[in-house]
Amino acid sequence: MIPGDPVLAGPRPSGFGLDIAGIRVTVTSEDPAIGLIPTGTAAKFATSTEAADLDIHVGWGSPSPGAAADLLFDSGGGLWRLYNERGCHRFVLTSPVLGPAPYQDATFDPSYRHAHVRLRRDVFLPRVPLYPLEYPLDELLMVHLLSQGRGIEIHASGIVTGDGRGLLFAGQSGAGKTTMANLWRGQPGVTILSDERVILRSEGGVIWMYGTPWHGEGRLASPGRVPLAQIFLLRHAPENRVMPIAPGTAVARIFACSFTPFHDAAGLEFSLRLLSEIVAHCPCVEFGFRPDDDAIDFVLQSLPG
Amino acid sequence: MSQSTSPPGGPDDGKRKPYEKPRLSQVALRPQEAVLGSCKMSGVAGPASADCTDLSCSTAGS
Repeated sequence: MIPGDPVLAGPRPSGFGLDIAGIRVTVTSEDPAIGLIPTGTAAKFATSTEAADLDIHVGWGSPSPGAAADLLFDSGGGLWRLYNERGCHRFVLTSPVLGPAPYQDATFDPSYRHAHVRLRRDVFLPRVPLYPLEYPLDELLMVHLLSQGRGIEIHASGIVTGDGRGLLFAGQSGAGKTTMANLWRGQPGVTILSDERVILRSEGGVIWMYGTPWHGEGRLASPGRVPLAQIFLLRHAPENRVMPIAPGTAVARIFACSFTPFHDAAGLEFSLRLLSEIVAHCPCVEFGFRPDDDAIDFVLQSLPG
Repeated sequence: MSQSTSPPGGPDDGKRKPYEKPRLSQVALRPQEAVLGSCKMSGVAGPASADCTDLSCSTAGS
């Protein structure tokens, strides 16, 4: 039982579902005054509200940590804090624009199968459908679901080449993820899974790369997936050059471009184990690139086989 | 006089890698990016992030 979660009665309320990297989330509200829609690129990931990994109920309320809550993690930038309240995780979200009072919270039961989102009514426009998983909540919940043995989210652009190979270009802010995605954009047969975030999962002995709704300045996002063929750690350079990286170093550098729950030892351990498996399956190189079309030919010629 | 720990003709005979002192290398982590603590487009999140699509901040902190 989640603290503050209303008991549902009567027919199933309306809402929407999301399928991100094969993980299904349903979002519903029993309050007829709350209209729910996935907005922006999240709409590309919309699905039915049937069988989900996580069910989220939405309602108006007074978001707060709760009197008996212990602080587990503070994002440090004033956007979110995570509390433990009677074994449940509660994310409390604030925004400098909306003042010190939280505009939203989200409480997850210990299994992360059920959640309750409370919205502060005065910050939402009346009678306008809303998306209750605005950044950073959508990514926070996905990072936690992934860390429970499912996968890992990477700060990277993801490309599917014309011949169906999955290329991941990872890097922190300014490394060139969107630049690289834009170079591939419009190439024959190429699909951009994301110019900002991809999810990696190990399924049936294959490392799959999935697109996500979370895009960069290129606003490129697609819900497809592809087997991962190679990882490129990006940096700008005067000439195109690929350099091999030792597996241990590769794991460390990809981890620095990953999103994991830093408060959760088990989640961190799983993430590192998965990255080791990924590096064992897929070559990882450093790619110093010059931002012009030659970079694409250079990448294609550098691929094994 | 040097001595080998492996027998003559053994797997290490004449093929030992020279000792290399362990090195510590550091990888930079950007905390605000790593913990989803910032938004690239407007610096805020949630329903007030008007720079983002449809009242939602769907551009992550890159």
